[in-house]
Amino acid sequence: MGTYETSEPWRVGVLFSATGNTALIESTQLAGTMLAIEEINSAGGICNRPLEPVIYDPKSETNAFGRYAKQLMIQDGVSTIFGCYTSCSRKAVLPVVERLNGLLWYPTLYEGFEFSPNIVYTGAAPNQNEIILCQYLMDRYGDRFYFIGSDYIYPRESNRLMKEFLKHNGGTVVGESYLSLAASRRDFTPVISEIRNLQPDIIFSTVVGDSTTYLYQAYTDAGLNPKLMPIASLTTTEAEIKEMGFDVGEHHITAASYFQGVKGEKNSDFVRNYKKQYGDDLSTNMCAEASYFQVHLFAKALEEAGTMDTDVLRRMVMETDYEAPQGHISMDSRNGHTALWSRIGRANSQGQFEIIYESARQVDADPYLIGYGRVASE
Amino acid sequence: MKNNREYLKEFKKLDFLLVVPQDEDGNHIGSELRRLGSNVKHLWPVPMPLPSEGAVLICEFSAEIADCTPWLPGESPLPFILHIPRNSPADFKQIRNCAPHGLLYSPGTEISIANTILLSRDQFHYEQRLRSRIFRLDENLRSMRSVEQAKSILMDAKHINEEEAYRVLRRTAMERRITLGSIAAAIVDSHELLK
Repeated sequence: MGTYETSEPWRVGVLFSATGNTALIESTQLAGTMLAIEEINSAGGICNRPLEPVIYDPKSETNAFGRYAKQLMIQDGVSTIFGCYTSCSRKAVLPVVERLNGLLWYPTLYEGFEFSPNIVYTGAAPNQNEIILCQYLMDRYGDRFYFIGSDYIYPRESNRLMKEFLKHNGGTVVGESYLSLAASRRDFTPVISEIRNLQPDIIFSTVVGDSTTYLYQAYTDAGLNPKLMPIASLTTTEAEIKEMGFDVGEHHITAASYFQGVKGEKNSDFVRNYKKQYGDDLSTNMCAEASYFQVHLFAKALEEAGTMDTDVLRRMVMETDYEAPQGHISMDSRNGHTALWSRIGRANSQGQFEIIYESARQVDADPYLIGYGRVASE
Repeated sequence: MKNNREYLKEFKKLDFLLVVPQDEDGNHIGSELRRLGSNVKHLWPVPMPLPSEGAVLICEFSAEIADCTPWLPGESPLPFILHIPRNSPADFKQIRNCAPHGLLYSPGTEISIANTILLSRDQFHYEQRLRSRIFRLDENLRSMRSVEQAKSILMDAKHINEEEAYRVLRRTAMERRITLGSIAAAIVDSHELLK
């Protein structure tokens, strides 16, 4: 093979949007990815060969993800791709990596119910964030939920599960609305007035992208009280809170595997390096962290495998674990997902999340919710 | 001998898109197909994007051909066969990147042309069947959760056991000619409304 004799770089594909509806969060995924690549390269690369990213900007357009994945694998000769935020973009890349036998590393929480041998899932599956959140909210705030989401696969699927758990634990859905990913601030006004009339205990949001800001701002404009009726989300991170304003985000709730405030040396290093690279006013977040650790996980597996051949590399990846900023994580070869930490955070006045719940250990992913019956309990 | 050629009947009335130069080899493939009773639409030069209507697409290989397909690799809507002209320096990696269902080398005998095409077509249809099976499996996995819920709703409402609840579901689905999953989802939804 001559793997160890060459100093030729390992080329990898990177697909995160720098413009468009979901650019805000995807650019932090790009940042996490690039930080890890630089760390690996400055430490001498993998088997003495540096990583060389081939980067495209799909501009938040679903079809562009499929096209660039094809271009990466065919023109650029790349077999490993780090990328995708929305489920639609993942589903656009999936057939390409499956047919050409590549590996997509997907660093985003998603709705579950998928298993592709050509995808490494490093974000949370519903049992790692959603179910725990549902239980927490019902204990603390009440059982009348209002669902609001962006109109595409992830919010609808994710709400379907939330509804199921809610109902079986005696809760009710008092209302449900879906708005376009391109919704404006004005579009949220009627939804907020409906919420004001219905007075739910919780607003469960699966709004993603730029419109996240508008939802929280419309909520604040209406003078609603987040201490009594918070918006709970799986996707609102430090990045969205910064965008909407710390005061607007304060007291609202998010469930995630990672917040910048996670304790531990690994995370302090990550946060320090991230800020050094991208600026002191930028926070890390769950998507940036997953993007960051998955590159390190890849590097660790590649060091062992010594080849980018997907079949060999994937087998190695599935046996790998890693000390990530969120804590110790490991891969599960049964489903290609990652055992991650479950946490719930409440935003404070500095745009950071106070961690109000933390699992005792990493939680295995159960993407098909096989181990979860109708009752939401661990 | 006659019996062995029975399978060639499959070529009758099959619609071919033949995107190859009208030279000796290209015309040879065309005339073989016509002789077998197929309809052949001969196109040259390569149209951009490649058309995808018809039963089988045979396309001349070139280094750029992977860029001409309007579909993503693995999502070709019809059997896609590459024609490799004689003395072509075709690079295997480039061939593989096109994700074709088969390769037709010139010069080809009548039998090699026919067999390559039929096997490629089989492969394509097999792929389609697997895909639809995966799609249905995914759907079933999702609907299994609704079925479980619907069952317990029925058990409560009608004071029946699990077995009977399942039978009610199945019978209703059959009577209304819809899937078990959708009847279960309907029960779960309406139950929610009644609450």
